[in-house]
Amino acid sequence: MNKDKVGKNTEAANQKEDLVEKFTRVSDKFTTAKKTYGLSDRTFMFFFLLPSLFILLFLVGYPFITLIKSGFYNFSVLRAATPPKFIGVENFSFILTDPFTWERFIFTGKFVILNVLVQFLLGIGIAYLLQKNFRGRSLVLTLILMPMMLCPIVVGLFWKYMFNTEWGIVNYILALFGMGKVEWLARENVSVYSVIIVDTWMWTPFMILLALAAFTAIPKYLYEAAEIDRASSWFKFRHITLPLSAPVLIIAVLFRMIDSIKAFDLIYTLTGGGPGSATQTLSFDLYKRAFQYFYTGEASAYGVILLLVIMSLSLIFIRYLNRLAAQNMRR
Amino acid sequence: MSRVKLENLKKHYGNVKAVDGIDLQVENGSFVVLLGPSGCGKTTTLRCIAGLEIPTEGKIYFDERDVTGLSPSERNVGMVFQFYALYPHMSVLENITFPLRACRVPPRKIEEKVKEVVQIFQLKNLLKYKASILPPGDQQRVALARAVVREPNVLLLDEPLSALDEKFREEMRSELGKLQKRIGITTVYVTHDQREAMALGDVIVVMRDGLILQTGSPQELYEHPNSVFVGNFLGTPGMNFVECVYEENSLVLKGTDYRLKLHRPDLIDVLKDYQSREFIMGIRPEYVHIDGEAVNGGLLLEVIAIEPAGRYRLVDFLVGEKIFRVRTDWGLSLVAGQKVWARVREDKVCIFDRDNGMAIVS
Amino acid sequence: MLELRNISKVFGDIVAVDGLNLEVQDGEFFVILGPTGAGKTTTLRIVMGLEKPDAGEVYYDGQEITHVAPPLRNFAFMFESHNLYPVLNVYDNLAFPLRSPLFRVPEDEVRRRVESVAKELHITHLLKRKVSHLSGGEQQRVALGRALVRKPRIYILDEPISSLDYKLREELQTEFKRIHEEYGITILSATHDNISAMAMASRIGIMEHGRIIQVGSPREVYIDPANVSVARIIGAPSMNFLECNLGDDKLVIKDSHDFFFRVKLETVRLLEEKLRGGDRILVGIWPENVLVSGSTGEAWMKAVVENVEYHGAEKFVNLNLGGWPIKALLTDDFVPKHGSEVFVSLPEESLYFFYVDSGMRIYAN
Repeated sequence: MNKDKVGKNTEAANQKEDLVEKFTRVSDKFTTAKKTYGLSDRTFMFFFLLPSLFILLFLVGYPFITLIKSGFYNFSVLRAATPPKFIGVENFSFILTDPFTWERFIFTGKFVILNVLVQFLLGIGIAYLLQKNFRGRSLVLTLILMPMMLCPIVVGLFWKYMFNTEWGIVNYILALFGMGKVEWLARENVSVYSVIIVDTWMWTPFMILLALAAFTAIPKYLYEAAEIDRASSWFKFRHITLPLSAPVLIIAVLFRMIDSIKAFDLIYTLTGGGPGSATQTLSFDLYKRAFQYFYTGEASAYGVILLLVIMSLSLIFIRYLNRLAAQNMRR
Repeated sequence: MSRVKLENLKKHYGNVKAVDGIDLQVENGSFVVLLGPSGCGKTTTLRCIAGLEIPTEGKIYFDERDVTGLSPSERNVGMVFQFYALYPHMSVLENITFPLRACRVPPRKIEEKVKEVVQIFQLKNLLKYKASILPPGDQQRVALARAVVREPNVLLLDEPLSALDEKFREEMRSELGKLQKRIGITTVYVTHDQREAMALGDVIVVMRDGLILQTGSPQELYEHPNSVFVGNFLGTPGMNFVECVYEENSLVLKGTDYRLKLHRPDLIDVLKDYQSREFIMGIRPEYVHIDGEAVNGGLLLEVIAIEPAGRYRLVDFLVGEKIFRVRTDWGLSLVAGQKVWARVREDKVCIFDRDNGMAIVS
Repeated sequence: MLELRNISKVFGDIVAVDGLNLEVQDGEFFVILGPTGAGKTTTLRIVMGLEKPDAGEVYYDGQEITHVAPPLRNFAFMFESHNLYPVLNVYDNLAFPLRSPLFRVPEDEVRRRVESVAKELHITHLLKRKVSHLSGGEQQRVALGRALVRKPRIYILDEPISSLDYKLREELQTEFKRIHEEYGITILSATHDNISAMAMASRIGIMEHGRIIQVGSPREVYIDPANVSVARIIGAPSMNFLECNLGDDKLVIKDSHDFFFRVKLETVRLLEEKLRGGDRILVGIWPENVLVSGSTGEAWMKAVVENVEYHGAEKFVNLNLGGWPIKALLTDDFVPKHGSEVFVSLPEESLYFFYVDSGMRIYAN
């Protein structure tokens, strides 16, 4: 062994001594360190969460409990002086046996299904077209998303003007093509479609946005592989795009569905629920009972029922989503 | 099956010249490997052949047919992507039948074809599983099955083994080689791993900076590299290089007083003109012999490290400032620090120009 | 000396480490070699203190450290994905471990150490660069440098180079080996790359299903593999295996009556005795020991050529021997054609015998 090597070995030995010394010093430090900081990471975490927990409790927990409670009482905020009277499930049974409720229920169902279906088809269709890169794509995208950014009340108001039978622009354009006047908002069987048109105009962009996000998340190489496999555009869409974007699309549909069930603001300004009660959804009905007739107890019960309906619908969707996920994982 | 011909193929992305003028002929049924470091343009070339990229310039022919402007679906190629690109939501069976279903092949015919590839790739037990949950090795087999099920003109493979474990890679490499010979399909294979290239290729095309550096059989390239780059890139490990000067019929290794007396007339003939100019000598690790005792014309070196590799070992020396690696069997017992005598096999010496790295004699 | 005693770790219903015992001597380069999912990373994380074992203890120099927090163990860890700090430049990345509150070192000492390590690893010219602007190989060097600036008791490396380009890997594996010898440090590393493991290690521990199944120098495990798994993983290429039935004075390859090779009577006796009535046996042979010839001789079997693989210095031929795949090293200039017939002989002195069921060696030669 030459000199060099020996030199290195002693150096290594020195290093080792160094190490031993360092280790003992570190251990000392550790014991002192433990005394200074009494809080563990977990405690810290808890403290940081505390404020939000409180806010959640007061803003969600308290009103929710009050809602359920007042559902069992005969009570109106107008008669705050009269103490609420406990009447058991009478509010619930009244609502569920009221034929008017069922009428609203069926209408809401029709409205929701039609509304979501139209928006879904339009949404993925437009998203599919927007996938390709073309000049001015981002401008088109921004313009398309605009309706979603507006306030529903405003949307309702200006569509109300546009749908005006006598001087609205919609009938004016129809007249240019030689078509007669349509009473968009005043006829019972037309007004439903008018509401759907406006809701679709406003919320299809949401579908487009989510569908587009889902589509672009599909890796490009799958399309390349399909291209190599000589698949047509439709075949690719049907067998790659749709199944792979399904989870996101389902969530989008769920969102639109929940939103449609509780559609209120748009309808309020557009038709005021009319003509008659033709465009009153369940939530509109609820609003009337709560804030026009001030049947507070009854409205609370109504709210609870509505909540249960939405929750069970969501559950079905989430079940389906989980099944999709499980299928992808299954061996 | 087709012959593939590339004529002056170029693909530029803005200022980046990914492929910058390639001429290549792939014979019917042969296995050609495009080999090079990342960014050399090998994948782009492959994608041009597939039709996934439209070349900026040049022509691509399948047999006599000009396919340059055709889309992938009009070319009938099979391709295995780097990470397989299996359809993750489909079962193995659905993946394999996809190319057939996409072309509306009748179900009876599909069944027949599936039976065939399932047999070749031993997929029988996997058919019902989702492609995304399979281990990489199985995915690779599925991807191969999908690529050949339609009997394409050409099979294109883009680093198909890079996602696998070292050991498994070696096994799949052998499998792939056997399969290609059995099916006899024209194959273009892209890799940065020279071991794969050597093991699989009938012809290896070494690429660098969008250009072909050298084309030839594995053995040609290994024994006669046309540049320092190829010499270093091929081989496990690559060639050893030492700077030298030529004096009186001998090579004098820089940093030593070792003189390698030359007998080869072709070397002497060329090196006459390099009188007192530096150049590079290259020698493969297995063409240096080491001995425990002094030998005539030997170079005394100190062992720095020994790297065992199973049936043989690599012994590292320092020549000048360069690591010099010698491949040897286990006959001689060696330890680090020991001095041994090394002898270079003159008939295997390659000479390279120091400035541009190209071969002078190889 | 680092010692793992009877370590087990379970994640859900997956047993990652299963009663593992391991000793790493000071100054050793110990490599755990095993396929993905063997439990290598978990083992290293337990050594590091990032994971608590469900059972078993970790000792360092006789002192139990199973529950000592990671930073206090003073082990350096280099991850598979070299986790450098992308916002810092190379210098600051290298200096980082020295500036940590636990191991604070004066700034001029930091400079001295960073510069000497940078010089050692040939990355001095990169010191000012942002890490995100480096190539993969350069990043790997920086990551290694960051482990080297500190003087930890052990360096723990998880797949230190296997994510790199093959050529770079070769270069770095030599570098690792050199640094290990020069610094006289202790390294514990894990990898699935058998070639770099063999090249770098002073000792290899082969791991499978959460256990170390054999420990030895690279040469030892190659000459004397304890079971089929070891033989499969360490060779490049792997050992050939043939399932055979024991005959009177020969071994008959399974499912093929015409394919047999003679062995000595005493070998048959010994095998008979060990097999206790069974007659199936797994025969292993390294590719370099299979003899291939274009013409027949005594005790040669006919095989069909699948293809020839070039490995640079060597050529291998893939053969079909009675339905079994066999790889053989071609020694002379004989290069058989695809589909042609050649003759194969398996010399008895280079055969390994394994039990078919357990995969264990029947007896050491």
